Amino acid sequence: MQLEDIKKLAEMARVDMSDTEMSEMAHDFDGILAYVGQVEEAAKMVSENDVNFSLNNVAREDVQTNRGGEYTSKIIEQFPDQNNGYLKVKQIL
Amino acid sequence: MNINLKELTIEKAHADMKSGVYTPTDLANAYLSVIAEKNADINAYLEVYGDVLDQAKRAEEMFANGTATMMTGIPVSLKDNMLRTGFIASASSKMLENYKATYDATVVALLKNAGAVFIGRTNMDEFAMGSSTETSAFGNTKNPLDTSRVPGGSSGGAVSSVAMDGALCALGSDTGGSIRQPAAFTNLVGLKPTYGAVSRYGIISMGSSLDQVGPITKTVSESEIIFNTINAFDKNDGTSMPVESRAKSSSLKKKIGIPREFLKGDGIDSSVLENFEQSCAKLKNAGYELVNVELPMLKYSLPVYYVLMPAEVSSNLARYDGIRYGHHENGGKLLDIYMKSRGTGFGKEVRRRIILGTYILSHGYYDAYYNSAVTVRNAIQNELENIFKEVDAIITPTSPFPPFQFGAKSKDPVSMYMSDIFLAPANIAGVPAISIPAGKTADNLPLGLHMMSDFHREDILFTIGKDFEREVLSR
Repeated sequence: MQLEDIKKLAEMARVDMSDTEMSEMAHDFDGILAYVGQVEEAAKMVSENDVNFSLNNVAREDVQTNRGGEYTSKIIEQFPDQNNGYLKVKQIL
Repeated sequence: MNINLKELTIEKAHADMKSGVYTPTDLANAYLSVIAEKNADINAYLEVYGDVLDQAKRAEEMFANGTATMMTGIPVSLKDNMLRTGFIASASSKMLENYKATYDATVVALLKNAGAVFIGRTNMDEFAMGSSTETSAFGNTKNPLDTSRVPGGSSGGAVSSVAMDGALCALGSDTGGSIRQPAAFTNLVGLKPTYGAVSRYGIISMGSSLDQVGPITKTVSESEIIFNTINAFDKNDGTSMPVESRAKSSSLKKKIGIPREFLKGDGIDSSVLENFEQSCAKLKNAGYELVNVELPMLKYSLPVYYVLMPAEVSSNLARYDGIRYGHHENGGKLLDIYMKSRGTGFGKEVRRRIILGTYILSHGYYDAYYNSAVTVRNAIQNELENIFKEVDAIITPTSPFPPFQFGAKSKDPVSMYMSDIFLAPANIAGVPAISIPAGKTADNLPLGLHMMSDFHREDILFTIGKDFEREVLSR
């Protein structure tokens, strides 16, 4: 892994880091990826018949489940910046 | 009022409070005194809740009006990733340093209804990422049994709160060993329930397909008491297993499997192997037949874990953007706010795992890493499911090495990750697993015996666990 690779990933993940840290990370990743890379070989040993993915949909109906305003003040309290109950954010356009 | 906290169990405390030997307030105060004396040094607790004595009063009312349960008045500590309304839950991260929970985690609500007294929130590795509690943004926690050593992680504060007699029991969380390993490091019992047994609602997510909440106690029977209180279907958790789909009890085969091949790896301390053989002898003495079992895919559990977990972490931690709550850094544009808030709010290990997960899920690598890991995970699950038709449980040591000194595993990330080599299979497969104190090394450091059983067969862990415990205590 190169510094440039980590820089691209950092931007994708929206995490700001120093060049020093990113260089160190590139180096650490070589070791980590060598270790976890085993899974690719291991996967080849697994036959199609042995794999069983049965899934159950537990999604509920899309309806309101709490009283309107039940949590509003508690949530607004956590906003870094607010105006009249609205979350204030940076202008995008 | 001198209460012997060192020997106290949930059963004894319940009997004492019921018969009036002391009140829940006396008991809470006893623990608060210990915390006042020891916590500045040990740093098990990040915060002692301000309403402990109010909770104790309510417990007294429950004893008075006959509604008390086994957990009423019992002092419990909560890991810092468990939401309790109105109180901070920070996952030991600067990102959530001042975040006040807006709802109760289901496990908190269940214990609250049972009358438990929550003492405070305990230190952890940041966002549960670590095996030593050294990545906490709020300082290390010392192992009360040897303060030059780590208590393990990520539930290091939880185990230390109990080991220092600052709580009678604790709740921890386990994604890749984070209850079991620190329990072994502090001579305690740590249970990771079956995935889907205990609700994850209100638990700050790390790896959603791996996380489980479980009890940390001195004895197996106390572990069972707490498990029975929090083991329930929860409609607020989409991965909660309905009660009718859970396995039914059946009689024990009295057969325990040992994956001998798996114990041959490098990096396993000789003291651990020696102690494990002694544990095998104890189980034989208790009437169990020990057999060798072949589990060829089991050794891939840890690499599978270190592919799936970072991937899930990168997804779960995307919500921390400095916009609606949590740590917020100002920047020129919106992108700057994201990058700076996350760059400064998260610590180094968290940043590492987010980037690793981003890489694993990115185009071109998704198949090689993530999809391969999912396939191998499925194979490991099948392998274990099949073996449990032959044996009641599978045992290994909990940790490949005894509690280590601060900084000993910090140079090479993989050496720290290896702490969980025996523990990851249970998270990968979703089976329940327990660590039980198994004795000490020649240097008086605690070691644990690790046991896995079939899905929803925690009863097997408790039965064999109590038999083993009896053998350990009788030596």
